[in-house]
Amino acid sequence: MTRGSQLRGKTAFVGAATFGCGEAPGYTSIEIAAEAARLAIADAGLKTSDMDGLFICMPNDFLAGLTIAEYLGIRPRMTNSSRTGGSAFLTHAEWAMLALDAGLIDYALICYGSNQRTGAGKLVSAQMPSPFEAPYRPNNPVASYALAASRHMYQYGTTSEQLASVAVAARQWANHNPEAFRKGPLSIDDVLATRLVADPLHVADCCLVTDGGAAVVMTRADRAKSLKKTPIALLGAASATWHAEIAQLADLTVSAAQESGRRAFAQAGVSPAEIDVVNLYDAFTINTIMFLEDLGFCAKGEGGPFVASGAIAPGGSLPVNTNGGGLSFCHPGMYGLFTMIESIRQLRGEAGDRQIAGAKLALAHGNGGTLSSQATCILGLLETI
Amino acid sequence: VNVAIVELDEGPRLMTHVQSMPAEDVFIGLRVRARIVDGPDDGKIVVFEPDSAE
Repeated sequence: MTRGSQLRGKTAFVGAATFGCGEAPGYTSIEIAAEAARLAIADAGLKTSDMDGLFICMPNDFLAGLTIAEYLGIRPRMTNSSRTGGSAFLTHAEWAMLALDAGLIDYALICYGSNQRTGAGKLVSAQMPSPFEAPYRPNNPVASYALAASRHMYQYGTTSEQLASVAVAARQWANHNPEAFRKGPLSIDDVLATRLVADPLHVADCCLVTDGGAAVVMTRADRAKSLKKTPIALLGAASATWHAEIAQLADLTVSAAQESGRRAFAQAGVSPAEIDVVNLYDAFTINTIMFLEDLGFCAKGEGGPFVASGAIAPGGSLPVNTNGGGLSFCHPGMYGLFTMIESIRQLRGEAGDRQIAGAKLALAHGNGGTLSSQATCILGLLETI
Repeated sequence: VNVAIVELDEGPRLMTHVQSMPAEDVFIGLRVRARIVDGPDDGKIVVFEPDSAE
């Protein structure tokens, strides 16, 4: 039997919400997470006291599970503050799926919040400085992603214009998202005219620094059917970690998304060609290109021409990051949960002007560290189980 | 200033600087050799320079 296939469709997302995306002055990070949680629980038609599984990863509060349990006034049976960087929330869904299916908990709350824009003004990271990297003062994380981008250009002829087309597509989607922080016209020339932060990545190749929070509620599929919103089944969830520091990635153009994706697809019993909407963690423009290749949406090395063809932009053959992504929607430090929120909204038909008609299957993909941790979730309407 | 990944002939890789040449002239595939210099903190660090450099 395929590993994990017995978990296919056993659990579902029944609540989803965002709060404070962009700027949320006056809010602490935990308050943003708690507001998102409150909205997601209300979205599901449940009570806060129903939440008996709590999953959270905060920028700089290592015991955030304790903090938010107290803040929300709940006493969870299971509290999980595990960290893999921005992919953490997709791994939380993987753990929640197991705990729900085992009957250890009935309702899992996964939440996140950060006030990094109005609070710190820059990315807040909890990663320990490496004794092997720190003496060279890399401007991380962008320096590590720039090294991967340079290698991709060297091996496959990927160009700065192709990288820029990822940012342009994200902006075109953001222009259809009322919640997006960055809007307005953006051309490839505009992207290339922004300052080089770490060659070959420009400012506009990098995700935003914003505030924002998000939360989802999961339960077993049998319970999900009686709740308020259309349940969105979790068909497959898998993660993989290959390294911590970018120099230890065997081929700088291939991430562990290749492995997490392969396992998530096998568990879900679907193929990339069947996916209607893709939401990836686009910390930098190279991420989108690499992950589309690693997850099997195009061949390795063909990501550059694929994105430059307009395939991922509105009207293209493969809608990618329909909320505008971390590049133009919001990026409050760890973006992973937002890939799940947008996938849920698209499958529910709640995506407004950017709605993909008839979407039944969505892929959410999170990235943590410097291409280090990769986690993939495949979501679908109940009819796809 | 540049940050590079150098792969040694023996296999291991490390993050480092390639020095003794303009940063924009460094390219993938350039053969380099190690040099030990004072680091930005206490202690020495390994950097690299083009193999052809004196």
